[in-house]
Amino acid sequence: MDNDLLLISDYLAGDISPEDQSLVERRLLEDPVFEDQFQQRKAEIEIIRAADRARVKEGLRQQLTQEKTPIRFMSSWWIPIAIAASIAIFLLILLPNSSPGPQQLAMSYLEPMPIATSRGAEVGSDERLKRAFSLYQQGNYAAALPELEELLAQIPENEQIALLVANAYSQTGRFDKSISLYQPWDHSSPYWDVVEWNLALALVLEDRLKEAIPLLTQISEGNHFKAKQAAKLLSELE
Amino acid sequence: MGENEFQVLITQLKKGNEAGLAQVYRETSQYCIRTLIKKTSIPTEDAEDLLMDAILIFRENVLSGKLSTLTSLKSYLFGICWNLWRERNRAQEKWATAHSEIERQLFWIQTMEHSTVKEEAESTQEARVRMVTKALADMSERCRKLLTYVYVEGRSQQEIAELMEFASANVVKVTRHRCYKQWMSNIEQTQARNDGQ
Repeated sequence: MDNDLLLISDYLAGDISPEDQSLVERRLLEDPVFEDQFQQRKAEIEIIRAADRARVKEGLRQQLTQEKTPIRFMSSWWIPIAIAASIAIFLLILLPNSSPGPQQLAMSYLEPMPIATSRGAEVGSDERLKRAFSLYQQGNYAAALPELEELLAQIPENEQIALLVANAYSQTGRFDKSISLYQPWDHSSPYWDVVEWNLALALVLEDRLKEAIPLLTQISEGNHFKAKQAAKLLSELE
Repeated sequence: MGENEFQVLITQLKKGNEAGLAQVYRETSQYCIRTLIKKTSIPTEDAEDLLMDAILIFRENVLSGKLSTLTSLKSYLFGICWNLWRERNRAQEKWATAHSEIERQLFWIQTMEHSTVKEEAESTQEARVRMVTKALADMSERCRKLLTYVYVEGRSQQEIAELMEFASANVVKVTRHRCYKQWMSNIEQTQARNDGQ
């Protein structure tokens, strides 16, 4: 047994005579017990290789982040959006002492949806889902949207993805679309509190204050997880 | 990166200093990522990830001695990126053609909903990974280094002999056998403890 182990270890180290190499390869074909042992030893080597790669990759990632090296490159479709965003920021700066409007106020409350990590890890085995989640988490909502919508079309009952789609619409300024997704939401859904708050924000952002204010009042008066924020936003809107 | 800089990088990497890899990324990212996006239409973050993986392979090739001279760093790395992309693409195509729409839907349902079987398989796999890496981490520094040099970095016996001040390549082999058996024994002991629980 020890001889087999060392023979395999030599083979995997690439430090083996041609005769022993042929012996290993022949036994792999003829001896299932030996083949099983070989596969296990090979898997162990792959595990430590993968762990080493992960360590180096993480180190590289951290180093680039610390140095603030721009890892991202703008593809051409993004440039007009970036220019528009810069102009918007520039105009905001140029508006001295003007009190923020309802939209600006509500915008400061708008947050990305958290992605449940336990489910995220589980569903993350699919490349498309992983890509969509990753784009969303990076704040690249415009690129995440088509991916998420395609996923939602395949699994329309998945409320988490539906929430991400609706929120991504809000994040990209298409509040009418997000409202149309939030409004028919089932009130008994476990996500209803989140939906209600995001719907209220989208209504403010779409300048539909007549609908937004009663909803914000309802949130602020109830046992809602955003009750305090709703009350604060209401007072700011007044 | 000129030939002299490349030789400096080789020396650093062989000494275990990985800081130079960031410089490799900086020098090649613009060309590799843009070209990958242009040629394959993959998302930017996938292109970045491919380049990182290519840099890991570049490092391994340097450590194992497969790569000792270089005419163009960015062409070399782009070549690896391209091969990685083709490999991944082939795997995806295989998945796409091997499954009917119903199978795909079933796959989705299984993926989206909690699957006990999958969780168990994953936890077994995770436990195995932990056991194997811990068994290595628990060894003496000399054994751990030796096994890493051989099995992870693929360094030659002669180089290891010089680096670790062994009398000869033959002594490296004898010590490797002893360390490998020790590693296997650590794994077995942990496995036995886990099975007994």
